[in-house]
Amino acid sequence: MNKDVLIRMEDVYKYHYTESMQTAALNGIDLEIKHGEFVSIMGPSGSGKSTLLNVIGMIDKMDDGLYQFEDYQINGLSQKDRASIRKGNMGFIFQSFNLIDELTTFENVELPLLYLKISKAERKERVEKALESLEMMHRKDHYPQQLSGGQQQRVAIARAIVVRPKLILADEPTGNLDSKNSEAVMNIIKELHAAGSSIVMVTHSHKDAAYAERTIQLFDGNILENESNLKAI
Amino acid sequence: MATKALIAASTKPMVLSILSYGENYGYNIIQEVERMSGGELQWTDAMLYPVLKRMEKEKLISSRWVKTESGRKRKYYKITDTGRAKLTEEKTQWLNVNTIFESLWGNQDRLSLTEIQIPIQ
Amino acid sequence: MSTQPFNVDKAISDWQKALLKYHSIDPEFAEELASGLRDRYDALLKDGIAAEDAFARARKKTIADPNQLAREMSDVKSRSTGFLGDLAFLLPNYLKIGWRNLGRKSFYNLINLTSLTIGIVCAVLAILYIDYETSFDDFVPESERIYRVGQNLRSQEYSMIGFEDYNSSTAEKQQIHIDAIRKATGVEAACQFFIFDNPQYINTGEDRLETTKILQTNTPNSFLELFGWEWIVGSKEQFTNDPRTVLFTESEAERFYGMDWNADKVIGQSIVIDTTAFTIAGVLKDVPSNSHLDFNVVIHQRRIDYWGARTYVKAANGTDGTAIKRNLDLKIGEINPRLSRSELFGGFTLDRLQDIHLNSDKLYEIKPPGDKQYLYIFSIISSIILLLTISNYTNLSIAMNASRMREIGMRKIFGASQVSVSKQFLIEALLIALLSTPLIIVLLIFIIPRLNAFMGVAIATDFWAQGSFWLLLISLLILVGLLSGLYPSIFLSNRKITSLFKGNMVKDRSSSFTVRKAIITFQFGLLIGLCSLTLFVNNQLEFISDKDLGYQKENILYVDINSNWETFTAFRNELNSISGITGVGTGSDMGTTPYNQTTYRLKDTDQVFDDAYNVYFDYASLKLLGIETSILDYLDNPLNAPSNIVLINETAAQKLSTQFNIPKEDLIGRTIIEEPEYTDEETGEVGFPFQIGGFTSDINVFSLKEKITPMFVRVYRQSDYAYLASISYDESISETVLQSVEAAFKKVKPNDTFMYEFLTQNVNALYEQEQKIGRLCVYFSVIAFLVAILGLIALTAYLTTLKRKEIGMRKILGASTLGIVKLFNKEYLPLLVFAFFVAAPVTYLGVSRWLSTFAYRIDINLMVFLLATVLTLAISSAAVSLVTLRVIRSEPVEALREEQ
Repeated sequence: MNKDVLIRMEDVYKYHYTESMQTAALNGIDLEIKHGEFVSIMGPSGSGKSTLLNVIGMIDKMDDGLYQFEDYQINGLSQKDRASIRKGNMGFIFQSFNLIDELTTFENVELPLLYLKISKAERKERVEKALESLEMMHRKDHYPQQLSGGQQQRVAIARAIVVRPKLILADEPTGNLDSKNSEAVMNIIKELHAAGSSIVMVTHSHKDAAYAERTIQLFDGNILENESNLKAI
Repeated sequence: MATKALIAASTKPMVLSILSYGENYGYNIIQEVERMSGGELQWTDAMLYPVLKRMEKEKLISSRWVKTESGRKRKYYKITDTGRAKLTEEKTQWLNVNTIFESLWGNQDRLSLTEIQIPIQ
Repeated sequence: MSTQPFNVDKAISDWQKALLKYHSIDPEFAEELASGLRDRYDALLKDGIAAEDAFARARKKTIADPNQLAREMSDVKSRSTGFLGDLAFLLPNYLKIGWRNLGRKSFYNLINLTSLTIGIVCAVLAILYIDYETSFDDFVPESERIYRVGQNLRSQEYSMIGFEDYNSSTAEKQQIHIDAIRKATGVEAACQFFIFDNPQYINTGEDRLETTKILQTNTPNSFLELFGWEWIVGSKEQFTNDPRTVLFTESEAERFYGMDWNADKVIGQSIVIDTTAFTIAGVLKDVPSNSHLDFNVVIHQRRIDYWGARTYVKAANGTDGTAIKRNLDLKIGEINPRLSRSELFGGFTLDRLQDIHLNSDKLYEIKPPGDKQYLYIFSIISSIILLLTISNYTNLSIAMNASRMREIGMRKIFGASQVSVSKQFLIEALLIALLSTPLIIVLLIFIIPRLNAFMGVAIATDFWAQGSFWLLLISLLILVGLLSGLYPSIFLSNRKITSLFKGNMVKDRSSSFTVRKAIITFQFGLLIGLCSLTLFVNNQLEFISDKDLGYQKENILYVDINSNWETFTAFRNELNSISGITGVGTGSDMGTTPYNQTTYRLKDTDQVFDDAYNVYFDYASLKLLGIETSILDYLDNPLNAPSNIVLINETAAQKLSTQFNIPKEDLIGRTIIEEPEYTDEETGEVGFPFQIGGFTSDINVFSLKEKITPMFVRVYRQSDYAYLASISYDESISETVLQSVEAAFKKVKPNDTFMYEFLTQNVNALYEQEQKIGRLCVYFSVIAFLVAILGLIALTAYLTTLKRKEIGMRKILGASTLGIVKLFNKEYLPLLVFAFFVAAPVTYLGVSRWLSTFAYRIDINLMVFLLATVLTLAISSAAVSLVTLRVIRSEPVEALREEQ
């Protein structure tokens, strides 16, 4: 096996069940993502973008197929085992930030480290480093309501990177932001990539997608195109 | 080669037994086992250390850092009273098993298994 | 090949650093692994392998697959934290969030806090009360081995046993009696005594004060040993050796010798009780209030001045009450030879000391026995209130935490398990429960003295100084916290991650709806049950107070006259001169507790019955009580009446008439022989015969719990002695009657204490317990309604706030305010109907059980259930409407605006 491969998916299916129907949200996905790669996923609403992101992020289980994350075989693992691989390996960024209202900036970023049972001193060091890198240190005692949307998303990014994840998953990270803030956030993501992070991002925006090295086009749970942006440019 | 299940069951009592002779450190424990088994049992660090950590949590053994003559640090493990009690318990169980195998395989003449009559249908 | 020399130290240090990227490998462990690698490397070097190769081999052997090691270590780490799991890391975070949420949702949390406080206070009170009631006589050493001996006579059970010659038994006979008991197999020790309730004067030379509850014993040593009374000062030897010595209790010593009394002032003092001189030998600690005994003074004298004695035995190890009863019954010939020959004697009875307070209801108990009904009522109702508060919490917590789904989702993404999320919400519930502690303590400090006064108990008012109280409180808080947090925590934690980010769960019509409705239905049910119970209990109490008892109970005063007939006549003449006094008589008092019955048979028949009571009246008192009789002429003209006449009540007349097939009228003139088992040794006459002279209606001398039995009403013109004067007066003088009667009493008996009772008081005293139950039910119902309504208000407020958009839309579409209010109310109606059908039958069963303890009782009117339901509906819909209106009319007030 190629050591550079971070994620390998073969013939992955995921079904959604409604009262009488079974629809395939993922319809035989084949996908390979290498270490350090930045991939964007595009497609119309309902094309399975978010489902694919959730399956990659191991917060949703797949119904059929093969999924390998580094050396781990993910398909067939229990929820508990998936959680133990997920934590520390994945960082998530959401459209609606999903910060916890009752926690300060610092505490929000610290939260994932608590679940990794990291000592207090190390937590402080890592949270501060993450906040500094996103220039949010001066807002560390503010609550999310006291921050602008762009600032909230920076905190959310800090929270995603503080665990030093192998993969950052971003679900329309600029969807709730104005163009100025969007650009700032995308630049941060670009920098993360430049520093060596692997990133998978779902987006509606071609502009945002262009930041990635590669764009995957989804339609009805199928990968239509899988093209390198570098080539296109 | 020993099977996985046997290794899993026997590692703890072996470590306890080795430590009952005195303080010792990881690499040397592996060497002792290898030597005594005539090379049959080759433990890796990756397999031994989690066991040691687990035993330490269970208060069966304790550990401390010691500076060697060369100035390097090495972690030494020591059996605790709880560990000794556990060892006694394990010993009895292993000896019991051993006795059964001995009489089954060792001395066929003295063996007196009840003969089982299988009824003919 | 490489030009650079191989640097093993750097290689190992790089390797060590690389390990650190695995979260489960901490720096110390990495160092240890590096040390192992170095050991292996050194060994390989010794075998002559080149440095670089040796390092490569050692590295491979040490850790072939770092991923696997990291996984195993993470396993070791997470398992080692055991039950608490990740709590060590997350607890501060949970508390922070819990605390901040308290502030943010202060309105709802205040309601939760209030209702939890009320629930826990009720539970603590119930437990303290039950603990007190069941702790009776536990202070006695080895109390489980001590029994009280009573006797069964004429099918009635007595809490004491009689001496052979009753009042005229000599000291020697009394001693033989107790010694025979002591000799019975299995009896280790025995004592006998009697406690006199009547006040007597004690003269210490300085003071002359009345004292009640004077205990006489002729077995002083056993009395002290058996009960283990605590001494403060004095000589036990002197008291047990010398008759005519007494012990004071501490408060009695204080009363006579002042708060600053000391041994010198008290011990050895001579005092006169009534007319007899005694010496004080010691002072005992006061009798604990949770004892079925009570006394102020203990007298050691050789003879007990009474017809019998309270008798207690200590069982030898390995034997029990049943065995001792058998042995005592066998020894009856020695203990009481006369009784052994009597057919009326039904054997001894033995009560365990610890059972007396709650389980004994024998004749002549020292204190009115405790009522287990209270224990049941207390525990049931306080559990109901506790359940209400817990379900309030459950409901509100689910609704409030709906806005925290995203938080839960994030936690799950970070690796929180379901258990870990449940723990968080349990901890929040515990936090709220614990926060209620100060309020609970304040409420208890306020309530306990009042409860003590109301229930006539003595729960320690310094409860907070006792470790056991805190243990109880803390465990209750934890229990309530866990119970109330249980459902929300499971509900909130078991959702799939992907569903947690999909908006608000209150909007979706999933399980939350049915559970919320189930809880409200449950609360409605409790309310309907409690409300109808309260109505029934109070109906029954009203029925009791209104029921015709067969006599006039208003405006009648009893005075202890305790005199010969001449003095009574003088007293009567004095009273008759007072205007407004309408009658003066003497005889039995009404509204008492049952006493001994008598045996009888109709002459010329064989069957002996043992179920009749004797009551005594002079003509005047029979008349003033307004009892219906067949001898109206005599009452109007007592001078024409015979000096004695015996009337039988309706029940007796019916019984004899049907039993022997005699028309009722023909019973007049027939002879009844009382106590036919007795034969006068001189005249040979059997029993005590009398002729039936007429009839009375049935009268309820005792409580309405007692069925009316045959009764012989003995009417006389005059007797040797008058115990009790009964005085009827006109309503108009009710203000002054007591004064003028006392004045008249002092004229004829200037040296005696004026003791009186109003008949209505006597009758009411019979239902004291029931009155208390009635009031308790009302109090508790009010509290329960309060708690439930509080919950309903909060929930409605919350839901309407969430539905602001819906309300707005409806208004735009033209819905009237009334229409919207109706809509919100309508949701609860089916729940109420369902609750009715569950609560009514259950309450029916409970109430009919309680009512069955009354011989005379109301019918269970099903309309009451309907009334209770309508009441519940009215109160809750008032609450719901008010809250809804508030949301509809105004912009949501600050307190309600927490969720968007």
